[in-house]
Amino acid sequence: MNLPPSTPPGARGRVLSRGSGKEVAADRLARREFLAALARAGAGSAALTALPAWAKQALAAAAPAPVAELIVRNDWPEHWETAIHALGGSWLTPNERFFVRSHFPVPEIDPVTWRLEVSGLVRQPLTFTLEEFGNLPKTDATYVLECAGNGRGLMRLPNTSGTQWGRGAVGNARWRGVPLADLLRRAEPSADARHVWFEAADQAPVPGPPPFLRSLPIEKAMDDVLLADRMNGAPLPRLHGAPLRAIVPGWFGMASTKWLTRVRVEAEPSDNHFMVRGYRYVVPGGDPATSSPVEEIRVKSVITRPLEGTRVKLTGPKPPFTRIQVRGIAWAGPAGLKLVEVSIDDGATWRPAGFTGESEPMSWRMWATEVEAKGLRKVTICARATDLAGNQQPQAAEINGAGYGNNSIHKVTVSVSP
Amino acid sequence: MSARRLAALVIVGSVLAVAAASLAARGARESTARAAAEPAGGGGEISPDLVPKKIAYATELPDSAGRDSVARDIAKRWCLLCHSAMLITQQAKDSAAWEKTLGQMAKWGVAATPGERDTLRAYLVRYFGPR
Repeated sequence: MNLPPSTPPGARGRVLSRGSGKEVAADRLARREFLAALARAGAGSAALTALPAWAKQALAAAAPAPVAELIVRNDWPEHWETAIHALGGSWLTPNERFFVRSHFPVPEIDPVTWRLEVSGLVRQPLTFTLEEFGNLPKTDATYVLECAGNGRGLMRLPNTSGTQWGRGAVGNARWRGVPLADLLRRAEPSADARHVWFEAADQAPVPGPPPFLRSLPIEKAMDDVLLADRMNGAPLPRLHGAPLRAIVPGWFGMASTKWLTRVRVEAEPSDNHFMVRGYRYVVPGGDPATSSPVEEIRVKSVITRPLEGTRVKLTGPKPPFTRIQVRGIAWAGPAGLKLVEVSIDDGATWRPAGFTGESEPMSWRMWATEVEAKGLRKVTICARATDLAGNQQPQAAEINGAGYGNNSIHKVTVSVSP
Repeated sequence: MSARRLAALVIVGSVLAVAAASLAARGARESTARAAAEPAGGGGEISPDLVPKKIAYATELPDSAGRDSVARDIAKRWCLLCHSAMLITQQAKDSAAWEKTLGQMAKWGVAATPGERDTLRAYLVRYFGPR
């Protein structure tokens, strides 16, 4: 196959606009301030849609804001991570702070011609327009979504590929959608139906790479999978799969196919690259095809306050203050979260934290506690979550070549302000 | 430049200046309001340009002292068809690991000549080798 040596079709503003000499002559600093002001004006600003092209392009290069809520780890396709300080401020992660992971550019979808098909090994194949889908009975549920590669960058693996995520490729959102089980029951799967394939509208900008196609065992598909068209009360954003995505509760994010167009009932699991080679826990030198697939989320907690390297003020009921307030989030796979414990002696002793705020099955939970820091100048706080099946976060997660499922215990070191 | 074009530019300039001033004031209010009103619905469009963000890695492929323009051009021509430079600039892989990546990309349509591939691998190891 020959590819044209031209401008990448998927390439967009940030890469191409940098350093262009054709821009309107203007004082660069003043322009950056103007752009930063525009950026602060927020998503609702009508003025942003009417911006001149140079301003839109240069927005991306505007001076970094003082507090970064999103960390761009890859600009296209979009791999954006939520900064730790922006995680856990609320039970639900606002859409504009929710991590993004796409394999290919966001597809252009025409809402008029868009269809959802349910087909394959079914007696009654189904097709829905956007309007017809909108009229189906909906369910709301809050689920945590975590990228399988979340924490890859912290594993410090030699020679791993892929995005070097920190801890923020995770979020908790309220999803509204149609239970996949409702559609499958209507479609009447035949006796040999065993797997459900999710086909989607996204594709590589060039013909070579395989489509991103995942499948699920039919038991899971019939259990609690949602086909969601709303996220946190808003229409599903394009970056998160509009008009429709699967939400597979308790599984890592790769299972929750975005830009869903077809649900195909099959006898066999998909043999797509992203099933048989990608998303496998492969020990160094191992064969992906015989390695365990990446499926259920692993139990995990993150300390969201205090932040690493900060100086903390002690608190307490009355002076002299001796305690540090600690907060965080924790989640688990289908087994469900049991408890979070905190240690300041590197795991020799642990004390349970208390859960705060709301809870739903397979959502994350917020937790809070305080630790005694009397006489200490420096404290390393560790948080460890345990699920109801008895799985517990390890000191260091087992190594796999692609750095999936890193649920190592989070440790935060702070200095104490007397 | 004609007088008419100059006049048009002046008008555009003052409109933008007024917009900037009002947006700056409004921005301060709105960012506070947004922080307080969680969870916020994101609507149909989200852009990192609208959220305070941090760019984690270099967004351009390096060419120190202009010695690597050939290799960089090969990388731009092939790698950047499907992903940004950031996916490369955040890696730290040895020659064998980069070769594995190039092999995967060749299967997916990168038709670089063997010579180009050698040049590319050496470039990647030089800048994005083991740390």
